[in-house]
Amino acid sequence: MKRLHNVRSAILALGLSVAALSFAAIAPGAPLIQPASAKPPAPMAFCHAYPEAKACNTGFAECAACHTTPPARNAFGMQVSEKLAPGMARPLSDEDFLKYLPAALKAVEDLDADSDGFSNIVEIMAGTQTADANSVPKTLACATDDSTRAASAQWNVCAYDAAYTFKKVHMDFCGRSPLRADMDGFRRITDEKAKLARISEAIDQCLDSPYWLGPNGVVWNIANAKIRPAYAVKSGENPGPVPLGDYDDDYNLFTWANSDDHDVRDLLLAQYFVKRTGPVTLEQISEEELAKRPRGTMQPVPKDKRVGMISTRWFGAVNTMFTSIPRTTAAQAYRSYLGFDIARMQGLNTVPHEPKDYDIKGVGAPECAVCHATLDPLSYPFTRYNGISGGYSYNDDRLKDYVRVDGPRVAEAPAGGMILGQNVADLLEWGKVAANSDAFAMKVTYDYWKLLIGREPDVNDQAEYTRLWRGLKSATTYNYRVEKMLHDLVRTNAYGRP
Amino acid sequence: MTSHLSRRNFLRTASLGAAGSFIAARAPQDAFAQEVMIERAKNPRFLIVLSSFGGASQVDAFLSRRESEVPNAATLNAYPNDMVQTIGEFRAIDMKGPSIGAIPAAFTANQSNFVRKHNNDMMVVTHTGTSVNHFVAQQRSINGNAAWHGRTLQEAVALTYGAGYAIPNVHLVNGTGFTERGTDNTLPAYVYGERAPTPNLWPLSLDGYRGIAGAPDRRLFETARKFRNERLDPSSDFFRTFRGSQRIKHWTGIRGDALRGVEAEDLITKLMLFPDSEEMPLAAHGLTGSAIGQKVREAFPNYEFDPLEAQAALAFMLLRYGVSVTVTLGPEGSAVFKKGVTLGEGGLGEGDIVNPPISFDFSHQANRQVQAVMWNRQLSIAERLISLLKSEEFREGQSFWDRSMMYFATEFGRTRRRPDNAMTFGSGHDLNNGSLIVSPLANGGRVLGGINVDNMLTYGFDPTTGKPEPGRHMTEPEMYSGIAHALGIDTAGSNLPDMRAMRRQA
Amino acid sequence: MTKLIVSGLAALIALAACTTTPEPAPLEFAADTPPPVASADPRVQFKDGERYLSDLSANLNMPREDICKELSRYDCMTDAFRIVLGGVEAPNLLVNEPIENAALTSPIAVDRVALHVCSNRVRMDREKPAEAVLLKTGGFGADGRAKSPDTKWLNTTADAIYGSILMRSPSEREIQNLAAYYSQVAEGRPGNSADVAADWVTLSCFAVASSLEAVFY
Repeated sequence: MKRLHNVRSAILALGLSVAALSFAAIAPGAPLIQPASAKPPAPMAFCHAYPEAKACNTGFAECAACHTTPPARNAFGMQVSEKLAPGMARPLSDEDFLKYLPAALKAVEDLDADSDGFSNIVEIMAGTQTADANSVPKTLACATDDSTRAASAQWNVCAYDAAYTFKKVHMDFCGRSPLRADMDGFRRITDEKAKLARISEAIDQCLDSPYWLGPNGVVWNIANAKIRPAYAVKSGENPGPVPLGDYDDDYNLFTWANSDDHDVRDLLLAQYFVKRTGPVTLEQISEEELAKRPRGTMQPVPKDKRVGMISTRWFGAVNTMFTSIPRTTAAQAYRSYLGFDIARMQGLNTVPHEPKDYDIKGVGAPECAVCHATLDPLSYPFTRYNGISGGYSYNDDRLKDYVRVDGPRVAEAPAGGMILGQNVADLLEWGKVAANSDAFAMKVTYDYWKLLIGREPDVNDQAEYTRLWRGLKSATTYNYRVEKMLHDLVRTNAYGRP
Repeated sequence: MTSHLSRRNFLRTASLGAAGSFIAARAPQDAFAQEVMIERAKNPRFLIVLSSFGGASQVDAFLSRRESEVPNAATLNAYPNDMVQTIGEFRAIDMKGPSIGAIPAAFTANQSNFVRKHNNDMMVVTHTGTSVNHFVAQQRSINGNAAWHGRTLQEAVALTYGAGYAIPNVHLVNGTGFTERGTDNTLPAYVYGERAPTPNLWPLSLDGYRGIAGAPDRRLFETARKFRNERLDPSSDFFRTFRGSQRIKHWTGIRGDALRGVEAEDLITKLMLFPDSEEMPLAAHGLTGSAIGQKVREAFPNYEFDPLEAQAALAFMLLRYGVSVTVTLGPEGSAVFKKGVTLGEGGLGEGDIVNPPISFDFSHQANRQVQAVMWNRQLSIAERLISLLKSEEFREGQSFWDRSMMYFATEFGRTRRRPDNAMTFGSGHDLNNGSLIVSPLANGGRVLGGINVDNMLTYGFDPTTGKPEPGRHMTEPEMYSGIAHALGIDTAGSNLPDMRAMRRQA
Repeated sequence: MTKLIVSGLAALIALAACTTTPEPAPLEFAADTPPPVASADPRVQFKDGERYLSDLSANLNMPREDICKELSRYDCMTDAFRIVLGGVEAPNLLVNEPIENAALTSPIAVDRVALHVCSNRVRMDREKPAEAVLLKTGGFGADGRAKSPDTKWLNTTADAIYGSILMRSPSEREIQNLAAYYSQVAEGRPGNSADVAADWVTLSCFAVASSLEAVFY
């Protein structure tokens, strides 16, 4: 996901940073958005040097080719850096950087940054990571003799192995191995289509299991990093010592959107809440029932202002808290549902003349603006949604309450902002743009891929991974139904070939 | 057990007892490198990372300023004159209050006692970070923003001194970036942090046999392990099919000598903090508590319900018993209350809230009060841990403390602005801050850098002399380097700067 | 350091013992069969403690809530070793995802769990032979006096162990290896001792239950 998202972020960062710089040149006095130390043109420049490299299929390499957490460089990046215009004062201008990068790359081609036995150039062309010894070019195809032997072995490592998959789907979706009798029965099936049908049947059963759908189940735990529960401040059932909000609402909505025939975009579009009526049964809560909730578990944002997971009481409590311009909230939403971690310089879409720094936090300083030129406009639509102060409600005039603390300009912050290069009038539009984006589909698919395959999609997985997330978006394929996508995920070689 | 030690080094490791057996298993091929490893194992330094989750601000502690010293004091975080004490080069704030912002809990917080007592070992260094994201900034506070190939300070210490220790690097705090593994994957497996998430039951995971009722004799149990490791697994089709898996390679690696070394140390006993009781029926299962358990429980009497006290207790035991050379502990995101206290009618009493939710980061709501409460907490833990370390001899009259460094790692500082003359106000994250280091190895009694009273931002210092340099901001790699060098870590080849000013002056 | 030297004397002896203490008579194991084709891209996953115990509970006919308790009180997975056995605990410990790399204590924890489970199962089998799952009677002839267990009993027991834990029948080689291990367990004791048989079943169960195939998938 890092790889693919960095590709997309590189595209957008490059495009908009060039636009921003141009704009700055046209408009004298406009703040310089990009300090010379950040190098968004680098991904494109890398692929100019290596157009045939596997990592450059889309025209842009990933930041992780040279960096750990930018600007810190990995072993390969350090090798390149040593050869890059040695002796010239740092930081280099973008022009000098682009001028001298090709020669620096050439100079380190025959080195082996990660000492894995494959030279840098071999790894670049193969699409593996030059600074990770565990990432090495692999030949997955089996020789004919091996294919024959593998076909009769316990694990057929040269092809999709239905028996291996049958066992694996039980472990992954039901939380237990198949019974021995079931396994023996499966092995007696000779027809390949019948085997696949049996696997599908098993998944269907398991997708309704407590292991998958229940509290603390698989789907529930996928949401942990997005919801960030903290028992100490939980309200509702089984409350903590300082009850502020009930994250059970968030987990239930997340589970609902990821199950059955539900549209997973409801993670960012839902204007309802969900309750759990049994270990694996969920149903939407009526507005009448919601209105009757006690104070500690109320969801004060009115229905027509709700934006799925990112406007809940809990989300406001732990992310917005007492803040006027909720940057943490926006960053968490961006990271959780689109897969872009701004703290790692992913998903940067610099907006001209931003950040305006309405709340005078000093984010306009060059080293801060690198990220805040994206983050601040991303955050404005959240400014009408209260956190702890303001009682988790929606309030168009909310920012007036922060003038005393954050200065008079804070009330000027708009309700509209920008996400993925698109202007949005409010958080509802933010949610719509996000939910319908490629990044959203990629992130949903990525979460399940990582869970079920056991690693991020690597260079050999791209075709299958891409087919899945594109299928999620397609009305004629999975149409945003996660369970349909999962049925096909288990049919990939990434999943089913031992 | 295999060893490629030279004969000379074999004899030298033999004199080190248990430490020698670990070194033998971990030693590099090169004889000279073996000698270096042995020498370092004999003369370790200990790093205690007392992480300060949420942004521990120096401006609210040891670099605080009086209103009379600050031109725009009304709108900057300068304190009333009578609240700021000057003790040597440091400042200290003592505070009492009826509430911690919106939390109706009275408190009393004290910094001056610690400063008076440990002045000579205290060093405050100013710096400016690069991220206001908690997790990322936490990581950078211990990896110097990938200053040395991405390895963390803890990993560097474990690599330098930990070869003779069963579990050189232990992480006691949960859910923070202070324990995030570094990105240098070339290091030997034993230097990476080992998690100890629950202090009471974790020691049970240090022996695969003891305390299990009805099991066959231990000798026979070991034959079963040997049978599994040397016969059953290697000859299985599963292993022969999937042997290329990194997960399996890692597993089989730690299942061998490392595991036996840990069990040979009887750590299931030595690190058993809890005594025999109904809740922990050790005796009934053939187990006993640690010989130093009572001493540690007396120092940290709230270990049963306060996670940080339990962590600190276990941290001491790990160092004292020669298990680790670096431990990482600290408050987590959860609120901690005195035993039996919950939020009910009538509010909370004095001291009922031991740790506010999200620790230092609750400063978003009430900066001064939260900083006071949390600094008090951290210093209280530090004081007791230092006392214990001072009370135990390491060797030849030197205490464990004499070889230790306590680094109060934190993500960032807090913003300096406040509403006109407000005492209670919220603060945001600010890259500009400093760090507290307490150690006989550090340049004690010193503040390195200063504060610009016009904006209350810290500024840096000359790395060699320590002379303040207004306009300069020290970086994450510089902080990393200073700490590493003060700990005697050889960073040759890393291009890390020499931060002489941060080491104890002759 | 002084204390390390004193306590380390045993370790020093152990180190020396690697090369000087007489080894027991070597076991004669069945020859290996030709190796299967190795996976070019092995993506094995760790079977976290909950799934591991669920499988053992179902296949060894032991209630999940009783199958493994440390200090007779604390569930091995949910209370004692949750994180190092691949679990998560978000609301209190803030551990949102399973640990990426196995901890040093992870294999020790697996060994403990396996030993708990197998010891309990064999104890139950001895208490109620009619309901035995692993340790069944009849291995020493009709009169119970044979000096060592018969082949049929060894095969049946091996099949019960592999069937319960790995959900498959053992290969001929695997059966022979387990049978060869019996002699090591019996060393110095009567081969037809009920205790020896129980120990062998417990330890064989342990070895299989803590094997790579049982712990990964």
